[in-house]
Amino acid sequence: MLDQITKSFGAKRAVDALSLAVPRGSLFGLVGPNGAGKTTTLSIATGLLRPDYGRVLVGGVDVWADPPAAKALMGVLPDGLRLFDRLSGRELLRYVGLLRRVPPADIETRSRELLDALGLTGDADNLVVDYSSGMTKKIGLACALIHAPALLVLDEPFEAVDPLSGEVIRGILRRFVAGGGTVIFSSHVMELVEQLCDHLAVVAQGRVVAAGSLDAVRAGESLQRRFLDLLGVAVPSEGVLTWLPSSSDSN
Amino acid sequence: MVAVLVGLKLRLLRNSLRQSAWRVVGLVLATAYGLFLVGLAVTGMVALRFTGIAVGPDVVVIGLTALTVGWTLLPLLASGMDDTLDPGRFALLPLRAREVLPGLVVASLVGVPGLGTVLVALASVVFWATGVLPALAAAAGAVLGVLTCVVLARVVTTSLGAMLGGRRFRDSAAGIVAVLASLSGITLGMGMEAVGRTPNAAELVGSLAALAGWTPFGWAWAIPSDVADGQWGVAAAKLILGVVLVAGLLRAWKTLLDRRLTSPIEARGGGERVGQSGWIDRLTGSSAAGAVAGRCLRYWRRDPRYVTSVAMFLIMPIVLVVSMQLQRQSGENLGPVPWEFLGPFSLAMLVGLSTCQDLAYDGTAMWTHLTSGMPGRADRLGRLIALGVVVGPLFVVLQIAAAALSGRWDLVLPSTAVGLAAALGGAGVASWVGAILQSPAAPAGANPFRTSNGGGLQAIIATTVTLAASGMLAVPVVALAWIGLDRPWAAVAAPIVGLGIGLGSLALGSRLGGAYLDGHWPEVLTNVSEKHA
Repeated sequence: MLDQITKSFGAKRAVDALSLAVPRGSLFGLVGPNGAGKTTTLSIATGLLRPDYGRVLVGGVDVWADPPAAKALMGVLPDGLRLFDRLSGRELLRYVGLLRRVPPADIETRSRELLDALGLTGDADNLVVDYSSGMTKKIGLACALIHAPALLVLDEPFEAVDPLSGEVIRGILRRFVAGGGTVIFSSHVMELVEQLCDHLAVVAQGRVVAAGSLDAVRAGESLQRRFLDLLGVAVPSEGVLTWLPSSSDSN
Repeated sequence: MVAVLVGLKLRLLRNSLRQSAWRVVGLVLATAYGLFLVGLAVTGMVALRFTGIAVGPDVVVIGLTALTVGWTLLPLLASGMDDTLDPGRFALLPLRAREVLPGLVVASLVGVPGLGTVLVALASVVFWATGVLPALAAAAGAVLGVLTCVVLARVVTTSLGAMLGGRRFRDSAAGIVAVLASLSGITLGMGMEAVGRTPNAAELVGSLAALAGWTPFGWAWAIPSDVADGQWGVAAAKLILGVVLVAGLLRAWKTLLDRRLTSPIEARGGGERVGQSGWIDRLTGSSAAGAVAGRCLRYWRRDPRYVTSVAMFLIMPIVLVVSMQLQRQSGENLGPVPWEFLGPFSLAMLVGLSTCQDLAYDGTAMWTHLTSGMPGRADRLGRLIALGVVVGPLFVVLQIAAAALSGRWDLVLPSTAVGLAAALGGAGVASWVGAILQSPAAPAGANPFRTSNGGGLQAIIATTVTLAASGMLAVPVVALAWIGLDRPWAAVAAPIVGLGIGLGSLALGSRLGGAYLDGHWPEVLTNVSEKHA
């Protein structure tokens, strides 16, 4: 649960008194245009960025009052941050597992299953720095899962992931929620959120525009349509950008 | 295009200053320091010109040659190259190297070192301007000389960096840099020695200047000197050599640029598999601190920045030990002091520096530590353990080498005592200071000779504090060891006190540093991130 969180960078207010309740056991989508504050919100929720104001509660534990207790409950996949990429995939998983105090024997079996499920077994002994961006996302997801968290916080988990792996990840997330876990992830692909999530929130300019169960937010329309309505997006009108080459007139 | 690129550099500089007050302070300090050095050089040259001292011209040639050598060596050894205008960023624009090159050359001069060099070169024209011809020769020499400085530095850092960036070369290349730097250090030391021994100093300066004038670094700068002496043929030869050098270097840079403009992606090795290296895991165990130690040990081996650190650790000790040995061989009387023991001591002094840089080297990857909720103390301890595993054997080898070469096995114990205080003490202080002050570092895959635009002041402060602390913590042990040479009680006390100071500093430093990290992880992450928004 996020309560009135606020974060400014200089004069720019990236997140503006944003409050959000993520029900336990839900698969929660966070959608919004570029620069809406999704990454900032998730960073504050996971303890990566200190808010100027506001509280974050995870399962009743205040993230900024008792960080270690709250962090133990969460598995995190940030976007745009590096990994310890001079380790091999297997070494990285073991490293994260040990930092999170998972017993070595469990790390062994869990890594094997995770690498297998995500199709990374063949590359497990290659350095992460040599992975493609999709493979890097997948090993990041494996790192988020290794300690069997109660809550998964994923920033753009489907970006750069091929359709096949995307389906695998969707399966993992569904199974995770079915087992009693909670997932919150950000995306700007409406179809994906519509198909996968049971709850979602639309954020824009650091504020929540709409939040609730999928059907409540959709209000009978397609999510894409509803999203555009909520944000009042103007499609560029005729008469501008006319200097761009158009296919109809062949110069 | 020149105006566009210079404008771009100025704008980037201005924006980076707006981002952080640290950068403003850094720029002010660098400017003050640069102004001081330039003022010294300019007044020196003007004074030499009007006092008409005979060695004046020779000193100017040597000085300017040294300046050119500095342009090439300093980025390699210390500061790194300012890469604000990374040509890789222009890769998507329809530009040829030919079009970008002039702008990049001029933009390289925008900055404290560039402007300082231009000012000094102008002053050298004033120095030589005793007639029309020398003045013209000096002007030509100044233009060529400044071009040599800028372009030579670029070509060397870019090509060597590309070599080091490729992981295939990383070990050997870092070793080569270490050996080259050691050799130049040894040569320099022997040169200084020779100067000291020669009865006629003026003559020696003269021959040194002549030598400098015939190296590629000095061709351009020596032209006006030869003109003033009426040696037209020599002057013409150096002019041609200088022009050919600059033309050749520009051509080389153009080739490098063309490559960068078409393949901007930093070198990636092709799917190298790593062994399971289970011995590291067995060694470090499964605690959080042990996990950090194991990760760091792998990084000391796999990350070119750490490999370069090891090379840097070894340069000073090797230079010291080898040049002492050469002097002994040549029958030089060094007195009763076995200077070889400065080798292990200099290693001990440098140990803490790498701990200062650790968090910056992690970069944004440290989110792994943040989100795991691990105690900051485990982070600090793990890094110290890995450092000890790497440096410990080096220290032992250097101690044995120093003792064997000087024949003073009785000094091993006191020398070790001093080393423990300096090394462990410095590492402990660095664990604390390094937790508080960081600035972004170039990521592992990138050219290690590259610095991110501006900044770096926090790192400089952290390393200075660490060096000073290593020295100060060693002082009491040095005193005890000295007294211990003829009083047994002090000889016994020295190792105990040394170990006590070292371990105390480690315990305190890792505790304080860890506590600071626990409270400030998010801020530390922001400090090492390039982007601030």
